[in-house]
Amino acid sequence: MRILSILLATTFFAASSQAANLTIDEQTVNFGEKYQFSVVTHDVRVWNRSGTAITFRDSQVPPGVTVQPEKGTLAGGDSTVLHIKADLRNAWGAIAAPLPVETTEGANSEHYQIVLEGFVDSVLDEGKPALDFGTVEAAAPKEKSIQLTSASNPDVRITRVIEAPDFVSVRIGDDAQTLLLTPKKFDVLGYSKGIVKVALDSPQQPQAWVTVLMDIHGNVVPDQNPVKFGLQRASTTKPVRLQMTSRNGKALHIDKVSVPGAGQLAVESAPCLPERRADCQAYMIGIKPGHAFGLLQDKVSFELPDTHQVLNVDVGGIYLDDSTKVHSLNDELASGGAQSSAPHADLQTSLKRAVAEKPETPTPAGQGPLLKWQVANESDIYGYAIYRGDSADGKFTRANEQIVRAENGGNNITATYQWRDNSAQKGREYWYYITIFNNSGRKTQLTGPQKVVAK
Amino acid sequence: MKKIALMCVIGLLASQSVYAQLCSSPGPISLQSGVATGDTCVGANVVGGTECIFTGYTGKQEVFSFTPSAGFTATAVTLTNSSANGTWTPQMFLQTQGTCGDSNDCSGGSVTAANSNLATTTTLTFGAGGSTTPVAGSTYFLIVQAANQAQCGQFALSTTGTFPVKLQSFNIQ
Repeated sequence: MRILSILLATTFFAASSQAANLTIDEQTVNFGEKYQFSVVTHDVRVWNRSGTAITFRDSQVPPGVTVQPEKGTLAGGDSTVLHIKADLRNAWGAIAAPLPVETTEGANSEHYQIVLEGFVDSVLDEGKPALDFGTVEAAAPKEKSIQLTSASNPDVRITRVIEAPDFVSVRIGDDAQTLLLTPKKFDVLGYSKGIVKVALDSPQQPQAWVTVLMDIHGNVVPDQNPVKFGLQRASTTKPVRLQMTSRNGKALHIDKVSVPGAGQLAVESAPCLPERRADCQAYMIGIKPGHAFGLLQDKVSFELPDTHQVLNVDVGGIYLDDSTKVHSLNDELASGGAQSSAPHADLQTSLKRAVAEKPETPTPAGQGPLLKWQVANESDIYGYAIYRGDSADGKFTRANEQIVRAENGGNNITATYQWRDNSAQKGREYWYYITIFNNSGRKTQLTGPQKVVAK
Repeated sequence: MKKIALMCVIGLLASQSVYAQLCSSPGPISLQSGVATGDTCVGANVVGGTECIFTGYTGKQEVFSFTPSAGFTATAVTLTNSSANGTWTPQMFLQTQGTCGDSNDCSGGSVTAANSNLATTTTLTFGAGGSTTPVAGSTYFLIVQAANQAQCGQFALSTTGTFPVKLQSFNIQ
């Protein structure tokens, strides 16, 4: 199992003139790298340094993370252990999770935080696999496939489908790496999104989740889906027009229009444009005054009696009160600071600059093949993985258990790395290549394979 | 105010972003060079929480909008904590709207380790290797917030460009 590491940093946010009542034992704990679907735990002891009892609360943690106990009372001078648990099933890449802790002593409150950090790798090449069907014609659905490949472990296979949404049938292909999906449920038109969960026979990662999305079209199609409201203000909301037509030219009947959930959208009938037609229905969709401010995440449902279907149209945007300022990023950037009138010229100039070099890392001990590589312009890179095979076009597997961490010196800085394969057998021929792991978790092959005979 | 110089702009490579893959083909993002400043202490929690793992907590927020168009590209927006005492941890994420049947998508910028005495930075990278690729013609909201509800502070946003990572040499001895 790979070494797991966590970085826990503590920060005190109360007024600087006030003494902190709570101290947290570990300022930094390194947790390292984990695979998706791992669950990491760590205990942190906290102390009440004041002479009187304080209550603490740490319930406002991010999704996927729990801290127990969520709240409690600490007597003066006493301590307790906070049990941190993070479920990494849906994480990928470098993560940093601030875990707030609030203490109360009488009328005074203080705020602290623990930051949970680490890197989540996927045994698959794509850590967030997704299959977009695009538009699916309900009358003629077509099968689509997605292959789950792993450069780290090419032997990884799908063993079974754990769960699938009801709008798609799923089967595993003969290679046990491919999923074949066919849309199967057409009583609801519009966007359908779900997750197909499959089991893997990988010792590093037991499952993979594939996001599936499709826009199912029937006889009735809207002129837009989703309906984009953009930025709307409370006092100046503008309704958006939605027009639907029957593709077979017959009269279009809509029984009922509803807004699921909070129902804070107004939907009113409107004449079709450019002219009234039997095969067309139009609506003006507006935001009701009672709608909560923030992001619009609504849906409008239209019942179609002729086909016994429901057509869902999504609504998106951001709805703010009049006083909330939304800055134009471009305007702010233009007025706020140093500008370049010719960015491309900047780029060209910078390319001609002398390249600075970072000092070479120490040569690793041992007798195995020594890989040495030099990289310029590193940015947003977590590190490098080494892959080893017996031939240039043969099967490669990941050779370094721990990722070689990147220096990330930035533009025009060159960094040099060394890694030695002490597991190589003397006299045997090997091929190696290097892959970049970005902070986002994504992987990009950096080099082609190179041959060496182990000495 | 600390000036962060803008650089450049390079073409975006094909996106690996889940949502970019689900949407139409990614386009370049056009952003003005320069530095924008803000202060979450004068903001409010206007956007609510997000579904993103590890970015679900929200403090006061400042909202920036931009609409990418065809043109030159910025590869990243970097947020620097410019509060004098540094006692807040900024988070930044990009919120899309109304795409692909999801009313919203979010791509969190990573948060650097918090330290009460040091400035912190976080970067949202676009394009290959990055967490998101904005699509030309769509409006995006870049939201800056404190990681802790009790916190707020000043910050600077700058567009940055990076050269493509370049392999200088690779040999095996």
